Amino acid sequence: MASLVAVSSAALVVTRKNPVHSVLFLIVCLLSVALLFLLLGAQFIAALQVIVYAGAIVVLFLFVVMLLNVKKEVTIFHSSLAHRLMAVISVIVLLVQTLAIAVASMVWVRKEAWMTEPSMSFGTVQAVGRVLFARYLFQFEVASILLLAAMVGAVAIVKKRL
Amino acid sequence: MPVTLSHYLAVSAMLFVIGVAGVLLRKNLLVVLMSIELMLNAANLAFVTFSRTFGGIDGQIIALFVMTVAAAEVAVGLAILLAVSRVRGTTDVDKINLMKW
Repeated sequence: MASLVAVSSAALVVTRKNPVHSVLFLIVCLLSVALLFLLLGAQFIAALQVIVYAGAIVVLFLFVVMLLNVKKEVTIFHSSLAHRLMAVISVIVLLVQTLAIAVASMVWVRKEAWMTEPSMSFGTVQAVGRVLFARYLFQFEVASILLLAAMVGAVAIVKKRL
Repeated sequence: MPVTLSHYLAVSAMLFVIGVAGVLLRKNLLVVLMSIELMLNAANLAFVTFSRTFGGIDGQIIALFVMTVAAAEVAVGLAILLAVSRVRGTTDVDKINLMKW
């Protein structure tokens, strides 16, 4: 059910003419993916998805849409026919390939639905934090520097005169 | 029929392909950026699915890093979009072909 909502709203994001509608459907899609994360037992990631994606990133998108004052487009797709044709072909090929991987993964699915039964603490803040601040501490610090660099870079790009 | 790994992977695959279609087909730069978000989300879903399958927590941590990168990418991407639209007056990727050979 949640995945149905996710896929259909994702399709709507791509096909709507008005960018504001695209952004709103993006929120629906991200929230339903968060629901899928919850069903997978990843509570912390689901909460982060709601806060970071649906909260911060989509608001950023909405700000830019309002700032640019974009109008409804007459044609939403590329004008070049060859471009569109090649795009459709590559999309179909990619769809077949990725679905083949999903089907092939049925080999792993034995009698039980999942290989392991998760422990009680699977996916909680505590479980994620323990690994994040021990084994992945360096990567965590690199990620923080990346965010700082992105912030400074974004300001530098938008500012008219430095 | 129980919901298994394959179902989640199929959803992830479809989300990713819709994202690719958006990047390749749409000409509004804003919607292209949104499609990239969709693709990153599909990758996240696959990571968390495998994390659940094999019982390790590492997949969720990679998903967390993907979210960080997505946030950084969106900030810089929208900044570039604003700068370009200020100079060229459009967000149409057909018309922003200055760097195209």
